Amino acid sequence: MAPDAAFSNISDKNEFTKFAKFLAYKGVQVIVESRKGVKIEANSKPRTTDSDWFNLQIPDSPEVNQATKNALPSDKILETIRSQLHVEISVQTEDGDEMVLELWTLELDEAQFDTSLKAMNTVYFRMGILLKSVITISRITPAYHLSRKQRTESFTIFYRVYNGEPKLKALGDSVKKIQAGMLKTPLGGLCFTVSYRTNFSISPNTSEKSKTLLLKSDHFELSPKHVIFESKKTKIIKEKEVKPTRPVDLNKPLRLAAFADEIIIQKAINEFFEKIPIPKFKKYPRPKTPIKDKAMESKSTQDLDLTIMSKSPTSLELPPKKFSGFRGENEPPLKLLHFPFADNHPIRELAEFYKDFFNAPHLKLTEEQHQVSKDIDLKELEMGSEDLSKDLELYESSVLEFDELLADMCRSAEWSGN
Amino acid sequence: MSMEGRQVDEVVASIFHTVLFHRSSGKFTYNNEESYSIRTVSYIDVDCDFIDFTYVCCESDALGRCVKKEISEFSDMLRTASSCPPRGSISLEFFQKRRARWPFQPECVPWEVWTVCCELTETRNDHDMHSRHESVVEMLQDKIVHITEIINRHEYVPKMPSRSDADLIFDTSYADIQPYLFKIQYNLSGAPPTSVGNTVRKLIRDTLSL
Repeated sequence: MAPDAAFSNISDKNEFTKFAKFLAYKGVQVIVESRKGVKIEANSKPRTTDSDWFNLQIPDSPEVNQATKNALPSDKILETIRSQLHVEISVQTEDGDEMVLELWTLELDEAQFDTSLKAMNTVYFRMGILLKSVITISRITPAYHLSRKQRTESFTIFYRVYNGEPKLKALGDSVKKIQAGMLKTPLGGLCFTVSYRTNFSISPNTSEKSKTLLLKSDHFELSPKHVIFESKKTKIIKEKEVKPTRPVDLNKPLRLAAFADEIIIQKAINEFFEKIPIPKFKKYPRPKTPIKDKAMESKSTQDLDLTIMSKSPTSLELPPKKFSGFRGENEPPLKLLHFPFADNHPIRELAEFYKDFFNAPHLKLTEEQHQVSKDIDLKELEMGSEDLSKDLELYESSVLEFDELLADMCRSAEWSGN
Repeated sequence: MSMEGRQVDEVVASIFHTVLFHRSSGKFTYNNEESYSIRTVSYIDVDCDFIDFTYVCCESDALGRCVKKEISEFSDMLRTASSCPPRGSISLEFFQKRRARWPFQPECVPWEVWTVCCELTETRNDHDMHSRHESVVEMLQDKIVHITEIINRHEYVPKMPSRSDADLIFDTSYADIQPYLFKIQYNLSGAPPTSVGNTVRKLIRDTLSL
């Protein structure tokens, strides 16, 4: 444990906290920058003022900063770093298959303290060197090679920033770990580590080990094309396994069938909704989910972490839902790093549109419900049943009217029959 | 470290530039004798042509040219060597100067030396070439990790100098970067090149033998 009076005065501690905060922010920035698939070339960055943190020209993407901010509350900087801050890098194929490639971790290890380092300018200078090491190491892991191929292959790299326990199981059984240096400070050792997957095969379930199809782990040939190919083979098995516990997610956009006439379908849908107004309870996130499934799901979030999810990195654990509206609060949204083929191309606009939707704020209506539902799923359930019973009451009280209407209709049918 | 002749430049450059990236700061601007501000360091990615490897180096044409010139000379010498297999070593040595009394020159005291020992190999077939290529990349990855590990130990670096002593610690001749004073030396004997200066008073902290 680092001694309580690690710094002689409070201002030093405050300064250290500030430095640690920016180390985390800049660390996440350099990791994400290295996974954009863009080679940093001479004069590629606009010259900044000479007031850059750690005297390094590190990008300052607001989106990345926001992601870091969400995972690193500004009133609990050191506490959060002590409990670890992670950047997860994953790849997603165009088929929607996802694989977590690596997990970067910033940690403050209290056991590794060094009380001799008192000068704050030395701490600052050494943090700069630690960041340089992160930049250097980020170029040698397989995910870097994969990121650089984003422009020519049909897959996308995502990142996610979160704190707390690392989700290492998503990296598969074969993991390699590199520590990008450790900076010993009076409050503990600050270190960046990266754990990355060395086995690039998709296995639907550990119980299906015999069916695991090995892919080339050779990083020269590393390409998710193999993953796509193999994952298609295992898809049916996966669906069979997953479907019973998976509610139908109506938040995902429904896709039209091939050659379907969009206008006619839209018209039909509109007519349908005009004729049959949706009862109130239908507005809930997963209307088709039976009540008992809902209860199961709220329980399963934790259970899945330990059991089902850990068995398959591509199954339910942290799924990169492109149009996710209801992520758990512990699951920050995946961020899109790059649009393949989209440089200086009209499709860029489409990609931007996609991106906007990808990270779009929830609709006000759903947001309100989400806030309610976020509190306790059970509450939502209760409310759902309350509304349902209200609706039922209403319909029951109107049962005479319905009967009359029905009789009326029958009569008119008879009339027309005659 | 075994490699093909055409890979020598890139193997050595990736190691030296990684070290120099860590051992360079932005240009100092002294406000007075003791107080200074540091300018920003930019960095770039360098993709190798003969190995599947990317390394990071400081964005400075002048520094890049200086390092490239030394490495090219070493590489040419090694590739035309008559010994079989050709062997040689090249060192990146950081030193600080100590003022001496007139008429003597300032004394150069090395404080860190990184040495890459190279041995050239010939590949017999494609398979052989592929496996050797892989092993060179793996070796380089290990060395990069090793470099960051050593540098982050912070065992010894010269203290930040006052304005009048800045030239004794840093190479202030570059317009866009300020590396610690360094020199690159090489020979073909296979043994690490001997350092200049007073060898007895050397402060060699780490030697990276590859």
